[in-house]
Amino acid sequence: MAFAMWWRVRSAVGLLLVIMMLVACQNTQDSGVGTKTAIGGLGGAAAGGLLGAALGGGGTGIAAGALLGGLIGGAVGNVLDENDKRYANETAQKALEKAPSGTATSWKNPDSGHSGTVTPTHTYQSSNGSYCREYQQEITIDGKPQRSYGTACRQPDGSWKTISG
Amino acid sequence: MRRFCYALLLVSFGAAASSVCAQEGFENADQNHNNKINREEFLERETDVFFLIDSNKDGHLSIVEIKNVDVARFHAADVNGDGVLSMEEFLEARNLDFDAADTNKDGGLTRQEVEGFH
Repeated sequence: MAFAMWWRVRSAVGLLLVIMMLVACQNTQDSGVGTKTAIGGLGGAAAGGLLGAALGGGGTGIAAGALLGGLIGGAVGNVLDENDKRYANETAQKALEKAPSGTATSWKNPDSGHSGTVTPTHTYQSSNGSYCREYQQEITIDGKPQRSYGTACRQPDGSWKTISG
Repeated sequence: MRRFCYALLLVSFGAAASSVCAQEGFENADQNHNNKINREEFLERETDVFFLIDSNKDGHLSIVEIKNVDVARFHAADVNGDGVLSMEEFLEARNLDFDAADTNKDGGLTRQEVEGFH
C-alpha cells in the first residue's frame, strides 16, 4: 500500500516536471529571441520571391531629353555615327534603369551595321543615397567586338551619367 | 524570357509561371554557374532587387513597393521604425531569409531550397 502511494507520488512529480519543462520551452520560444527568429526576414513571397523573379525589363522609362553623354567615348566613339550613338545611349539608359545585373540589353543600327550591348554588373548606393551601377559595354564594329567598362550614377532627373570609364 | 515571364504572370498561370520566373531569377543570381547561390551572390542579387523594386528611386522601400510582404515582417525589418526600409535594413532581413532557406546549412542555396522557401 505504502509502495503504491509512493509510486503515485513519484509519477505525479515526474509528470509535473515534464509539464514544467514544456512550459519553460514554450516561454523560451515566446521570448524576444524566439519571436525574432520566427519573424526574421521578409519571407519567400516578398518582393517577387526570394530572388525577385521576373524583375526588370519593360519600357525604356527614359524621358525625352534626359539622355546625357559620356557613356560612349574614346576611339570607338569616333567611329560611331550620330545614330549609332543615339542607339547606344538609349540602350545604356534603358539597361541601367531597368535591367538586372548580368543581363545584356542590345542595340543594332541597321544602316551602319554597328551593334552593341550594355550589361550592368554591380549595383550600389553612393554615400548620398543615389544609385550607381557598374556596367560592361560591348560595341561591334565591322564584326570586331570592343569591350569597355564604366560606372554610371542616376541623376535626380532619372538619367544616368558616367562617372568613370 | 523576361517577357515570357510577364506574359505568364499576367494571364495567371500561377505555379507554372512562378516556377519559370524563379528559374530566371536563380540563373541571374548564380554568377559562377555552379547551380548554387552563395551568400555573396545572394546579397548581390538582393541589392539589384532593392534597386529594381524601388519604383520612385528614392533609395528606400515602402510597404507598397515590396509586393506580398507580411506587415509584421515589414515592421520587424524596419529597425529604426521610420516606415520604410533602407538598403541596409532590407539586406539584413534578406540575410535572415538566406539562413532560413539554407536548410542543410552548407552556405549555398540550391534551386530546391529557393523554391521551397515560403
